[in-house]
Amino acid sequence: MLYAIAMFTIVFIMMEGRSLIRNREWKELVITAGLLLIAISYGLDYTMEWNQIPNPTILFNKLKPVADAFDAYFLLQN
Amino acid sequence: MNQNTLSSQQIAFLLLIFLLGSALIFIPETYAGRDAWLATILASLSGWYILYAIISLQNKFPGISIVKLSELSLGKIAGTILNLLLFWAIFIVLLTFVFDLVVFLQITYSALSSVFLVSIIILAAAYCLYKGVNTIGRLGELFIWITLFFTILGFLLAMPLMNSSNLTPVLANWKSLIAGTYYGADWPATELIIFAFFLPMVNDLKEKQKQIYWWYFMGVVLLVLKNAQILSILGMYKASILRFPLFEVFRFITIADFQRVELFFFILWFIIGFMVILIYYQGLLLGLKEMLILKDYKVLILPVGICIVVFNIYMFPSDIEYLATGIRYIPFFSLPVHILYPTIILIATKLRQKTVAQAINSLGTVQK
Repeated sequence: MLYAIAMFTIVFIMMEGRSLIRNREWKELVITAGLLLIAISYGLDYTMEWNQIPNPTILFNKLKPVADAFDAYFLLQN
Repeated sequence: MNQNTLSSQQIAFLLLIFLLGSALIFIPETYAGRDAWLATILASLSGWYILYAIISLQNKFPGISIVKLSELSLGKIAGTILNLLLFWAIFIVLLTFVFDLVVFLQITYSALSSVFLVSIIILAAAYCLYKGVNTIGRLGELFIWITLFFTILGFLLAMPLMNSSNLTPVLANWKSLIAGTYYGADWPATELIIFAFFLPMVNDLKEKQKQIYWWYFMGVVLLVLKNAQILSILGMYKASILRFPLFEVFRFITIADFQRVELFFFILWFIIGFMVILIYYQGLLLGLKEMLILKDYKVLILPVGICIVVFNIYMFPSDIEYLATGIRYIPFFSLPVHILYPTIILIATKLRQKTVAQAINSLGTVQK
């Protein structure tokens, strides 16, 4: 995973990063850096097994009662 | 040719590839049991509605992105919240597409890790995206006939294996039919919302919109035939438990002494599976570009790409996690968002038509 993150980051810096700085497109730079930071944080959390960042699947697991009620009403087996 | 224009025909081709690619080797409507083919027909109505909503919005406000319309008709805050909900749904659905393709590829390339395969897929998609939106349209034109040829050929080859008794009795359980329709509406019918981001670039939408509906109809017919064929060959139980039922169907086919015919079709399934990812990836970038008011979507390609790679592994580390979350819970989030998003904007723009039109005129962005 870390190799993939490093590869994407290097390719991004080479293709976009330098021109963004040269053209002073700070807004684009902040947004893309934010996205990279999120990816790096989650990547490290996964690889190092820190489990410190909330997993987005938690949001979907909250829909379990709805899914259960749906299954029960429509008599589905899971 | 302009890199950022598309024709209605290209959209129509992409639509058919998307319909087949997102559900070609699976049956999302398996909950409907032997009535899955019927559930596909019912579910297709929701896809038709989505197409109607996004095309009529685009005809009313040509050249204006649905993201912008959301903000203009609902206000900045409500519009942005609605947009964020849609982007989140699109991102999650995109993750499921990538995961499905990776699992499918691992049938053949079992020694390769998920991270490697996801990275390769995303990098290949990123390369296409750097070439411009029109490249996707041209890829659609290139692949449509190959897709149709192999899909119809596959259907014909598997026809002798069909056993119609597996499809009867019809409508034995209406509750499971409704459940199957729900899942079918979520995947792939209402996922067509992604085309809302492409429509502002279509230069002949008003004149040739019928083409889009016709190719959608054709896609639905192929899906219905595919589902009926799988059910009639594998039966209800096997079709519901197998991970890739169509792949299994093709394993039964033998032509003279030739076996393992399914490998001939592997390339087809990979191409259309990849095209689905490409369409969703491009749509997400176009939407984000509009919402963040960026000059070009290209700066987002790699940062969003690495997010797809990381979240794919983080959220779905195994097939079990994916089946538990991806298949079971996500439809209860994505389907309402996919349906409500264009509906709310359609109603809001109708109620505030003058205000929205004035706001667009003042922005000076109307393309006549």
